[in-house]
Amino acid sequence: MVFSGNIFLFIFLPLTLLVYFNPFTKKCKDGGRKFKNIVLLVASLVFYAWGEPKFVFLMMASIVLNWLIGLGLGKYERLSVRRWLLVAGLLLDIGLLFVFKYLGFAAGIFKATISIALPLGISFYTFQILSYVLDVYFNKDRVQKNLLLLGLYISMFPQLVAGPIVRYKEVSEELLNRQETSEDITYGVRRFVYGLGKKVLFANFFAIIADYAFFSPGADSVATAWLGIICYSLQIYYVFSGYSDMAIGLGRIFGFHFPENFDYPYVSMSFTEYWRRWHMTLGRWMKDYLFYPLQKSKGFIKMGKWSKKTFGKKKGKYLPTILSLLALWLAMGFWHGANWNFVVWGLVFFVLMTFENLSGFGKKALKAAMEKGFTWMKVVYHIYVIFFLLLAWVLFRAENLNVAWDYIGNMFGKTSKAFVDADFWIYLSNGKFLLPAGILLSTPLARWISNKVTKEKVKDVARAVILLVIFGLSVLAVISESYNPFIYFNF
Amino acid sequence: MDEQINNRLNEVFQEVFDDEDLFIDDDTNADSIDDWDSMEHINLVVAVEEEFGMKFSMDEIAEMQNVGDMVEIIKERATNLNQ
Repeated sequence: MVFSGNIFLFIFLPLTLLVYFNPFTKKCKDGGRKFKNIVLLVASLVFYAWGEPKFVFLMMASIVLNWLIGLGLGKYERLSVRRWLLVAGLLLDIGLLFVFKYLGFAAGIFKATISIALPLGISFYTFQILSYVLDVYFNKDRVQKNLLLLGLYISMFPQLVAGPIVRYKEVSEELLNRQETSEDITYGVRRFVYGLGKKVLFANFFAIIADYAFFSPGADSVATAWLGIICYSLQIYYVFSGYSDMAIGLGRIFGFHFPENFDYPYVSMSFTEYWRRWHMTLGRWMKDYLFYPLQKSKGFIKMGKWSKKTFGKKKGKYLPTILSLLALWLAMGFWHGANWNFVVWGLVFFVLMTFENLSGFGKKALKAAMEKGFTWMKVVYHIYVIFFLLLAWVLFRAENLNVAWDYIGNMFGKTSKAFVDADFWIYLSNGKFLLPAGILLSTPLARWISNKVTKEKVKDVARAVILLVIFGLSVLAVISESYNPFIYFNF
Repeated sequence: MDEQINNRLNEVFQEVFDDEDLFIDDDTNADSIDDWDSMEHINLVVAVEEEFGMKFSMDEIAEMQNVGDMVEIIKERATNLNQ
């Protein structure tokens, strides 16, 4: 079930809301909190089972086992016992992820074939489970004794399959004590509609051009190859940030405050900045649960001291920096998928981030980005980011490395027969409205305009009209078979 | 006592960020020191731990917002405050 599909929009969501907000809950002693939580949990399991009728039991088993490990971590003080429990939890969770996501890939290295289906959202919910186990390991008072509430944190349908990756301690309070206020519900609905529009009005359109360009990269002209990867960059931004908007909006309707996931990443002037704006909750997870613990580990500190002694105070810092960045970016690459593409994709960012860190370029660009006004340096920084980002997206989108090399070769005229062809002009004219709109709205332009409007009344009316238009068009797109992308060509 | 902690902490900051003119107060945070980023954060934390003979938890490391937060934890836990 996807948020932008008929079943979710017209059956699942209305039914869930109806049961969740039914007036009888007001008569309950706890204001219906327990009932509401059960409704949300059942709805979440149904949501997941709809797509994964078998693997829903894998997720449930994983929740129960991690609940038990959490109980142990909450009970025992002794460090040795806690360490064993943590190791057991990590082995279980990373082990499951490995079997379902990476075993086939690992077997491939040894020329064996194993094919296992990838359970929906397993990378996302495993990271949430790990966040729980680690949060309780760091502070045992956080233990969640109530299995239902832990299950709700992990399986909650708004963020289950595509994030944001919520840290346990961020919502642990809200699981029991939250309030569904009318302000939150209004905000949630608005956010959901924006996200829906991003997905069905923008992303679906850009997908057509991107899919075409990647269908037979050998036949693309130089211009089509560039247009294709620009469209893919827009597609993935609008799909992913759209889903995050819908998730944050849905969460808010049910009284949860999920963290933000995107902050106009394409305006970045360095990759240091970019990774603070793109899929922020994954970056944060990696920092808190991998990067810091690794750098803080005894072996790493020892190595850092050795390095400083051997290479001097300044250069001695390079070795730990490089090694921790390498670990981080290999993990980032693998998290996105079990394929050499993603490994190389991660290594590209490793090289870029290492360069920015060691040369001080990243800090300079960050400083420039914070200054107001136009400078030519800003343009240079921005071109640098967009250029490498587009190349990295090719690695991300291509089915394998060979296709990726061919595609990149094509972008620079290595194999392509022509610089421009008829297809390019057709796609460009189809996108004459949506392409510029998509590019402009990936910047904070709308927010800037909204801040310029000072009259609250004007703002409210404008907002309502825009919202209605987006909602109307989105519903039209969904019911006329949203995945029939040709709807745009009919107009 | 606060002043004493602050002075010792200031020396640690000057050493880690290699800047003898650096002076910190409770509100000093990652935004006010250019070099204080996620790379340098752990170096700083480890240096502070060594100076005061204490350990920060992974939680605290991730949540510290400014020098004031750091001082609070040090006051609570440091073993050699009166050196």
